[in-house]
Amino acid sequence: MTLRVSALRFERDPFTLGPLDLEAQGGRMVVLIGPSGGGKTTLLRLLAGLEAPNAGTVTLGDTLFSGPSVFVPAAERHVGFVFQGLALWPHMNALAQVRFAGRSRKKDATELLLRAGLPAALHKRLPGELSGGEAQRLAIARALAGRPRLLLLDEPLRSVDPHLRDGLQRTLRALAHEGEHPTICVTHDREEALVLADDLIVMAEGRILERGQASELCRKPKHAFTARFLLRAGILPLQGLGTKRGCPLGSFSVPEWVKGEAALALLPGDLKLSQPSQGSGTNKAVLVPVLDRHFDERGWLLEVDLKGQALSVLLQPNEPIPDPGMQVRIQLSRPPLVVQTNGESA
Amino acid sequence: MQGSKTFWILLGLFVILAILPLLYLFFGSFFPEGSFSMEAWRKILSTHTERIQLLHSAVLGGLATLFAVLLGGGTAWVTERTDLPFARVLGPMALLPLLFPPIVVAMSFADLSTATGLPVVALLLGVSHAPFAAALTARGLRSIDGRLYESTLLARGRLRAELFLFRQCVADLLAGALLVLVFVLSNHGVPEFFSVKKKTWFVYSEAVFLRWSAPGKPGSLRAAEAIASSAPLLLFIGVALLVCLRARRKGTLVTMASDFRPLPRRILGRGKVFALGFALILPLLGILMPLWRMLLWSAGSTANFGVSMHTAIGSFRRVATELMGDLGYTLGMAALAGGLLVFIALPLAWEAAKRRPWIEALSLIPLAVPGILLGVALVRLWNDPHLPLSRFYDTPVLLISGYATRFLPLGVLALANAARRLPTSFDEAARLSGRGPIMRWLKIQGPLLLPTAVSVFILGYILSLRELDLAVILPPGNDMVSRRLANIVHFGNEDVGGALAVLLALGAALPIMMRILLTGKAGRADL
Repeated sequence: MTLRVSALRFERDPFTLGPLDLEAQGGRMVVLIGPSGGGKTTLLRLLAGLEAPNAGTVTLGDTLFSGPSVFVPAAERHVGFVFQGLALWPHMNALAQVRFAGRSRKKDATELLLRAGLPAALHKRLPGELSGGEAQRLAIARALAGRPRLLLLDEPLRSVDPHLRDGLQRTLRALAHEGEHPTICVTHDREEALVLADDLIVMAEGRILERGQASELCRKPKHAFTARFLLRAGILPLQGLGTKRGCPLGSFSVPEWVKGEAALALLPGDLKLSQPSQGSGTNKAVLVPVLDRHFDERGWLLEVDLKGQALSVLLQPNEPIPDPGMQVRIQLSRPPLVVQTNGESA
Repeated sequence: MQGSKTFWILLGLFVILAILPLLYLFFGSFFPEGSFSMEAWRKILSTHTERIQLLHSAVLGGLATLFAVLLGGGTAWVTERTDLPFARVLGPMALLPLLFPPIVVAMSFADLSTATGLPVVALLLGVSHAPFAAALTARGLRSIDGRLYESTLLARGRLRAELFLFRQCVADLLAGALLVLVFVLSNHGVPEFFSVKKKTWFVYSEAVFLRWSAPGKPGSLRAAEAIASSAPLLLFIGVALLVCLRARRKGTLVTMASDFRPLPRRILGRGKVFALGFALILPLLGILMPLWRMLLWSAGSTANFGVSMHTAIGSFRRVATELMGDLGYTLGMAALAGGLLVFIALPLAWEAAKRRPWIEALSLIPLAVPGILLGVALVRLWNDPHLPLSRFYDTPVLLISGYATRFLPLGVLALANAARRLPTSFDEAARLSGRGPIMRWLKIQGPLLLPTAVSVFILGYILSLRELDLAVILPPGNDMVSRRLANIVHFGNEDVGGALAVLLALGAALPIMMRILLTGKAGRADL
C-alpha cells in the first residue's frame, strides 16, 4: 500500500502549504521534521481528511482520498491518528477507548493494548490515571484499533520523559514495520526523527526542502536548512556564481546540483584554532571574536562570529579555552559541506 | 444534516416560546384600543411616578447587586483563593440561598426584625441572589492559570499580581453582578411585601404588574403603557448583557486537554477566623435564618398559644393531607421545566459554541425581559383565541414553557461554555474511527456534557421553584407553592406556610442530594 500525494496545496490566510509531492511506502515510516509552524501538522490533517485541500490529489493504494471534485470524509478513510495532545477521551477507560475506536471485541482490544505495551492492570484506568508514557501507548493502541490503512503520528513522544522514549520508539518502529500501512510521523525533535525514520522529509514554511534516507541526509545534507536543523551546522554564505565560489575561509568548488545560492555548512569539527603562521591559499585563517563557549559531550565548543554568522569551533583536548570577547584565528580542519540555500534541493 | 434539522426545529421552538410572545406584546402596544396609536410610547417616563419607580428600581437593583457581589464574590474569593478551613464545603454552601424563594427570606427576616426600608430589601434580595455572584466569581478564579499569576507576582510584586487577577476575573464578576441585577429588577414580591408591611416605595416591576392586573381589557391603553414603560430598563439590561457576553469571550479558554495549574492559595494566618465568619454569612442569612423561622412558624410561633412540637407536627400533617397535591404539582412542574430547559438549551448551546455564536446573544433576550413582562407576553400570545397555542392556555404546558424560556439563557450559557471546553480533537478522534454523528454524541460529547446538563437541569428546577412572577401571572401557576407562600403575606396561615416552605426547600435540595449520593459530587455549572 503506497500513499501518493501530488501537488497538494492548502491555503488558510496567512498560511500556505505546498504545493508539495510525497510518497510513503507501506511498512515504512516517513518522518516529517521541521520547525513549529512549518505545516507538518496541517499536512497530517489533510491526509486524514480533517481539512480539505485547495488543490492536488491524495491517493492511498487504489483509493483516491481527495482530488478534483473528490473528497473522502475522515470517517471513511480508515486512518489511525495519534494527536499531538493525544485527545484521549477523559471519561473512557483504556479498554473502552480501543473498543470504541476499533469496534473490536474485548479480547482483540486487550491484545492490541498489550502489543502497544500497556500492561493488563492498566486497561481499566481512565486517561487521567495513566502516566505520560502509558497514555502515549494507549493513544497508539487506539490509533491502530481500526486496522488503519494509514497511520499518522503527530509529535507522538512530545510529552514523554526522556528515559521512557527508547521503549516507545522501539514500539513505534515495530508497529510501523509489521503492518502493510504507511506510517507518517511528525516531529521537530532531531534525535527522535533520526531514530524513527526510514525516510526523512525536511519541511519549513509549508514547503518540503529535502528528502531522503535519514543516514544520507545526516551525512550529506544538500540544503542549508537541513544542515542547520539536523546537524546544527553553522552556515557561511559563498559569494559569486559558477562552479568556484569564495568566502573569508577560502574558495570552494560548488557541485552541479546546487541551483542558485550556495553556502558552507560548518560543523564544529570542521573548524579549528590556527596559529598566526598557518593558513594560506584555499584554506585561509581568519581572525574572529569569541562570542561564547560551552562544554558538551564532544568537548569545549567556542562560538565565534564570522561576518555576522555564528559558527562553532571544537577545541582540541589540551588547547587553552579563550574567554568571550577575545580574538582567535580559525581555519578549516577538513573539507566542508557545500549546500544550497534557497528552493527545494533535488 | 440530521443534527442541523434538529437544531433548526429547536431554534424555531425557542422563537415561538420566547421571541414571538415578546414581539406580539411589542406590536400590540401600538394598537391599544384596536387601532394604531403611539399614545403609550409617548408617555414613557412622562409622569413623575414613573420616573420615581424607575429610580427606585435602579437604586434598589444597584444596592442589592453591591451586597450580592460583596457577599457572593467575597465568599468565592476566600473559598477559592485562600487556605480557609472547610473551603470545599463552604464554597458550595454559598449557593444554598437559592433553595428558598426570596419572599420566604424576606418573611423570615421580617419575623425577626422590624427594620424595613431600602437597605433591608436590598440586603435581602442581595443575599437571595448572591449565589450567582459567588458561582461566577468562583468560575472566573478557577479558570485562571496559576502560572500567569505567579509570573506577575515574581515580576511586579503582590499588588500588581492581585490587580492582574482582578482583571482576569472581572468579566465573570460583572456577569454575576448583572445576573443579580436582572433578577432583582424583576422581583416584585419582596418590595411588595415590605410595601404591604410599611408603605415605603414602589418599584418598576410592581408598577408593571399593577398596570397589567388593573381592571380593563388586556389590550387597553393602560396595559400598553405597562409594556412601553419597561422599554428603558429592557434596553439597559439588554445592552449590559451583550457587553458582558463579549467581555467574557475575550478571556482565555481552559479546555479539558489544556495544561493547567490552579491558582496558588494565600495563607490567611490570623485572618482565618474572620474569613470563616465571613464565609458563613451567606448560609446563615440565606438558608439557616429562613429554615429556622419557617420551622418556628410551623410550630405556631405566630399564634397566641406559643411554640410546640405538637403544632409543628400538626402543620406538617396538614400540608401532607391538604397541600401535598400542590407540592407535588410544584416539584413536577419545576422538574419538567428543568428537563425542557436542557432539551432546548443543549443543541442551541452546541451550535453557539461550535458554529453560530450569535445564538448566545439571541438566547439572552428572555433574561433581559423582566419576568413579569415575559409572563404578560406569554398570556397575551397563548390567550389569543385565533392562535392554536390558546388550546394550552390553561394547561401546565404554558407554565412549563414559561419557566424553561425564562431560564433558557442560563442553560445556553452554561452548556455553551462546557461545549467550548471540549477540544475539537476529541470529536476528530471519534470521526477518524469511522463513528457516525449519533454514536459520537452518545459516546463522546454526550457523556462529557452530561455533568453540566445535570447542573443546568438542577438550576432550572430550583429557579422554577422560587420563581414568583410567572406563577402569579400565568393561570396554571395558581397552585404553585411559591404563590401560596406569597399569599401568606395577605391571608395569614403562617403555620402551614412555614411547613410548606420547609418542604419546598427540601424538595429543591432533592436533586442535589441525589447527585451527591450517586456521584459523590455536588457538581457545578459554569454560567
